[in-house]
Amino acid sequence: MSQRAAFLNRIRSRLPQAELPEANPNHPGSFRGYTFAVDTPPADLVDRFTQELNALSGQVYPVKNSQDITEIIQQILHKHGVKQLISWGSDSLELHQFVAELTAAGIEFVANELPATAAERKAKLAALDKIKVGLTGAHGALADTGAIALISGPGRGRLASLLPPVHIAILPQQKLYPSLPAFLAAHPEATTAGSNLVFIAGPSRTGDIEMTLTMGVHGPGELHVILTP
Amino acid sequence: MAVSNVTFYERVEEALHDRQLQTALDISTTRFTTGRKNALAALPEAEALRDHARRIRAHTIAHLDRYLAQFADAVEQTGGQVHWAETAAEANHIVANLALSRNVKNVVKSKSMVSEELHLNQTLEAHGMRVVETDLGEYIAQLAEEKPSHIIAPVIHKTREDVANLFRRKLQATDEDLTDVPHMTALARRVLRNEFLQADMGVSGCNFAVAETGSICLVTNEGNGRLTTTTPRLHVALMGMERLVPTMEDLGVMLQILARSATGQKTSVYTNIITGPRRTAAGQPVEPDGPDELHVVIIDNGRSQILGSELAEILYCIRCGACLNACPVYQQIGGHAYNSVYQGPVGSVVTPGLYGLDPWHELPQASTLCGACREVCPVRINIPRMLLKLRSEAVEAGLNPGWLKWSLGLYRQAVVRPSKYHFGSQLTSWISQKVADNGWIKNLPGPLSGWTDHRDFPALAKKSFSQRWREERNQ
Repeated sequence: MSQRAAFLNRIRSRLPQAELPEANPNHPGSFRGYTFAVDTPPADLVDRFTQELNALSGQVYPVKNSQDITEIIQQILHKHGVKQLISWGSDSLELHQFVAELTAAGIEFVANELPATAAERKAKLAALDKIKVGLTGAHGALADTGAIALISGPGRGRLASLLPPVHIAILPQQKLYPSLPAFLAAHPEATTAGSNLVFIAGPSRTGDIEMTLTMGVHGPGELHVILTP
Repeated sequence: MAVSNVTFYERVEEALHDRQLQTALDISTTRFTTGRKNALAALPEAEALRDHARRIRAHTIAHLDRYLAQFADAVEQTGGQVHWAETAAEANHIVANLALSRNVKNVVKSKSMVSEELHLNQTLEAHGMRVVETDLGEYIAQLAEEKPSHIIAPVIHKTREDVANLFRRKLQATDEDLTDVPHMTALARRVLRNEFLQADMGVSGCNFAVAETGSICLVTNEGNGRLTTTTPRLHVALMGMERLVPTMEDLGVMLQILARSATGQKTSVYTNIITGPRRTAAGQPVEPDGPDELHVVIIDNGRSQILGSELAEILYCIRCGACLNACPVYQQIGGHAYNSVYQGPVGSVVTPGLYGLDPWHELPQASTLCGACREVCPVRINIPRMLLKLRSEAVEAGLNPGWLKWSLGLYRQAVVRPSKYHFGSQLTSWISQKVADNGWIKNLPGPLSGWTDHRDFPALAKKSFSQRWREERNQ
């Protein structure tokens, strides 16, 4: 018998003796139609998202056009004294004319393709680790928690939102949803489209030493969300 | 599982006299319980949502064979591999073989309770691998060669001075590195970042697995869960066999209550959902990063024993830690006293369930049966019912001390005859008045000392209720 069959048979043989209160043969189904807004329903998605993300120490920048994005990114790069970013491919970024503008101004957009062999992979990671800012798009955002959703795929790596101490995300306003269930209902493919779906709610944090809140322990310590029309 | 020869009562004694631990427990459990209460109060549908979550967990466990098969098929469809481990030894063997066959030298881990259950680190280290915990709290515990003392906050028993001394000793930290908690955290980030960059294999746990999509969900605040599952080319996820939910929609329900119950956060910072390894097309990667291989090890290790019993309801648990924080016993003795990976009320059911009542029969006694654990449990597990069940099993197995049986027998003799009962209560009252100091009994001899070692006991009233009842009626 295969390991799998033996494992599942053992469970089957134990289930008749299991005392499982409230277990129903049928799946309980959806919770109140599923797209419920779990918290107080956000009257205005932008306001609520901004308020929640600010409370988690993330910054939100509503912009009108690509020129605004260029300026914000320049300011952030300038503040950190750097000229490089790990970036998603420009076709995965909203209003991406700013990429050409910034490139012309001497900013370098680094892709994060990891090579196949172990040694090359480590060398590439070590090089990427020196870059202080990461730039991504976003596939959605949740107004009730301030989280943004990113789905991995071609040109859309995980490292841009993970490795550098600063993460900038460009989020189109129409991708705001009231809650996580609402986002999942609108994007049933979100989980299987790529190998990774991640919700990011503010900068990395820990309270492990004396419950003292500290930002940026492993992931980025700064999160800037640029909100496009 | 290794059992220390220090008894449960000796560990409790030690914990109760540890001032630093007492302060840490007061602060942390108060903060977590308040945070939880506020977070759930702000959720208009919280109570109905908990009921729904409970129904999802109950249904899943009742059909675990079906959902595990569905999950395993889905993982394989996305290019991942599934391994089945009946015992801890099998699980360790699987992970060690994967690592050895791929020439793994450096291993990074994100917090996984099941890996602590397996003692995986020792197994990998015995093969000459370097294994590093990356959750800050777990890392500190590893440097200190200690075990975590809380599901969510592994080193709440340590002060910043303890951590500073540890970093000085183990990481050659300078005074500047140790200026304050943010500096210390920054030092840990630098050291651990290097480990992530050099890692050949990442080992994670699994908060939830989704049967319909074959996804693994990991929640962290620090981001170590994401790094562990992204930088190394090999990702091994360890999964207790009961960690499943049927659908993504169900996962959405669980995520609404997990962080709120655990820390009082609306959401953890990173909710990381992994579906298969880095995607490829025609043998070439199409995603820029992520692991080239994903292996999911599904682990029984005593869980099917629990499943086929009156303790099966404990498998509904989503490992939030709310019952620890709410428990008046945990609040006093902390996690180490339980001497097990699983602590507090949930641990007092899981530990004897996984490893047997001998030698763990004392854990179900470490409860006042007040029901706080059941009240705060996001999926409303009736923990007190199972603690009572385990207590009665311990009695049947003759695991309790002889004097207890003897004195309870005496008590029974007395209470079934009114004359003996009245005489006995008058005698006890008289004795208690004699030994009391200002109405409080502070020291009882022999086995009775258990009542007075850690608290004072009020002397019995001079007149019993029935005596007063008779007197008042006669007036």
